[in-house]
Amino acid sequence: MWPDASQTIELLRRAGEGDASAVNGLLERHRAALRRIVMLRLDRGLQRRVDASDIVQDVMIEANRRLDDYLAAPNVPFHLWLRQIARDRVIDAYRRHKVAGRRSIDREQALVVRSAGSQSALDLAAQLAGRELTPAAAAVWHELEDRFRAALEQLDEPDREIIVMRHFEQLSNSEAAQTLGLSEPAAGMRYLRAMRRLREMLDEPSASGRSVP
Amino acid sequence: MNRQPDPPADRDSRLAGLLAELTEQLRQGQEPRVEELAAREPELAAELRELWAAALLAERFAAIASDEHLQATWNAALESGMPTTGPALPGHFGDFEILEELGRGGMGVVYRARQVSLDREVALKVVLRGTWASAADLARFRAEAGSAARLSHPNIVPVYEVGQIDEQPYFTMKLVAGTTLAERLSAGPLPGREAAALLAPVCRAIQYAHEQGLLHRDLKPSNVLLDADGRPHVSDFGLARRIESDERWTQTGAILGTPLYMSPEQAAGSRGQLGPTSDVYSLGAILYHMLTGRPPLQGPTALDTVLLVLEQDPPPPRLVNPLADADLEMIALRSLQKLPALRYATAGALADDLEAWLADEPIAARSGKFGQVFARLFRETHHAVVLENWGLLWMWHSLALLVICLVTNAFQYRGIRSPGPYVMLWTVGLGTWAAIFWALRRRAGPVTFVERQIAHVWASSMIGIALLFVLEMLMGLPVLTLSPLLGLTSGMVFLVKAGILTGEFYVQSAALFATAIVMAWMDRAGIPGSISLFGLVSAACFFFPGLKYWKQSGNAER
Repeated sequence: MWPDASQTIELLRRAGEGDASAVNGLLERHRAALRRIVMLRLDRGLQRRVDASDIVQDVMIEANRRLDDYLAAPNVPFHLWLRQIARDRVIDAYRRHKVAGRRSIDREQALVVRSAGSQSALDLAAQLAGRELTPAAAAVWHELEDRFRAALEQLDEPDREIIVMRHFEQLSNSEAAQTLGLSEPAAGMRYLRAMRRLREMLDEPSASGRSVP
Repeated sequence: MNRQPDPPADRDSRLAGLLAELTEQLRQGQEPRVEELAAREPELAAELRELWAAALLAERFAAIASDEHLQATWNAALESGMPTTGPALPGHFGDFEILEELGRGGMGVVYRARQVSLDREVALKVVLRGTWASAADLARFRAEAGSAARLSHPNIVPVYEVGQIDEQPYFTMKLVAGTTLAERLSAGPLPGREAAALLAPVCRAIQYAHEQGLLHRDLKPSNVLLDADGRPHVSDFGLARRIESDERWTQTGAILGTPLYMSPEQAAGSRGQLGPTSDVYSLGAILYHMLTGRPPLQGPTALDTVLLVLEQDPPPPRLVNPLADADLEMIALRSLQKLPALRYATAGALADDLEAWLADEPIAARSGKFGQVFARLFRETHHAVVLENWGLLWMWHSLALLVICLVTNAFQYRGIRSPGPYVMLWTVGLGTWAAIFWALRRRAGPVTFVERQIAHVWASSMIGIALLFVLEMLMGLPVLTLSPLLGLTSGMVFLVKAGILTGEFYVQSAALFATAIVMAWMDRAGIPGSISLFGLVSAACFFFPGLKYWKQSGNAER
């Protein structure tokens, strides 16, 4: 989901030399990924009040404003830097709109694994991948999806966060480590523990069901 | 030697590394090579498969949750609220007079119906309305049903026509009066001959269809109809629905299919992997059910079954039904291999083996790639990790054994006939070493239950060996007369360890038993050095696994 890193580096170099079109290109090519990050973290309540595009636009503007600081001291890869800005803007949005309910601003990492409702996400997954699913497999995947969502909900925040980073945001282990300020082995271990718990939850029959609104 | 107690952490970091590697392969667009990694790290294999299954789920659902286009399609679909009406009720349906409902399946309802214009009875399958949302889907259905209609094989239920009445797609098949294999199996397993004789023509029919370019995709006992003479007829050919585009799956219960006979690649919904060997797997699952009276892998829910199909090997049929035939068991297990490449390449090859078995000829499942099944015999158990605690100690132990045996032979060579020095060497000497060994082991961390068991087996062998001197004295035999028993005792210890730890120890066990024979022969023939031979063999028995597990424990690099 993230754009090619070597091109990003080239654009960063040109942006450092004051090339305005490079700055534009740099931000534009991350727009889609940023939008996904934002969408992942906006729950339905907030989606009704704010437009994800607006948040992405805010991120772009702020990134543009702070780009010189970043270029002066690039401590993290560019996309992780953008991701951090996006995350802060989402938290701001929650704070501004004081969204009621359990998705409060305290849970700043609120992840929205959207429910498919009566429509199986797997049909859509099948569409996405163009793969074949026989009816029985689809039915099972439907159930699996419910169970997966419930299991993810039951995890503790740090566990859920690392799974979201590694799989939903498609970060590598070293990127997740940098973002969390951990060593790579430590991030790997946290991920392993989280997956073990996820797996336990998946096996737990009580984890199934439609507990998620 | 001073192994710090942290084997779990080491194990975890390797596991985390493997998971990262697999995720990386997936992101690079490669097929993740889980089995390859599992084979490289057998003691991590089980957990790796489990965690990878969860990671795959996360990847799949993440793909959906983060894709806005999909989200939009989804919401639109929710809002439009697709009507999903059932099929026509009994009565008239176009040219058909519906007589009775025969069954419900994944895509619709089957009726016994009379085609008025031709005055014949047919099996009429009416596809659930809403199952085909788009014209493209319907066209595909018609094309598939059309190619199924061109199949002409004595063991395939012929499709007469494919059509559509009031936007309701349907097709008609020959009405097979009789029962289904599923009903037949509800009474319990079939005798081997009957099972093979029934399945072989089914395999031939599937082979024929594969040659026509058509996969069945949904083979299961309820799709094998048995006519009045007991001959099998495969139905629903090539009609297992592909789910694509925005088809709706909102019903539960009645229309859900079963993953019980589904190949792993099918259950996982893998892209583009479905092939003739997927049908071979399903045929194997049917054979398994025939032999044992139950499907190979069955969990409490459909989901659990899918997880089992993805992760676990089925129990050998004879474990479930001791009466099942060993060769048929081989045939079933070969068809049920998780990796398509390890199964029979074609349904025809499976039919060949079934027919060979019926004719009492040797079967192919016993040869070639089926060495796999024998390889399983030599596989490590999940207890084998304890050997990592022992790797270095075993290398020292091999040295201790070799020294004791060489010294014993040296005493002999120097003409020492009194038992005293030998008894000292084998009880006090070996006993001291055993005490040191155990103390070192305990210093390295808590001793597990399995290790305690093994220590007991080991201690019993040492007591036995020490008592040999007592027996020799009591029986008035010259000292060391009973020394070939060293080989037997050690061979027994390794046989027990093979059962508990890893099948590789069968080799050690066999070598030590053979050594006992050779020692007896050497003593009889007056060839010196029989005890040194034992020393060499038993030292090797400990040294090589010791080295292997020492390396595996990761201490070798530190």
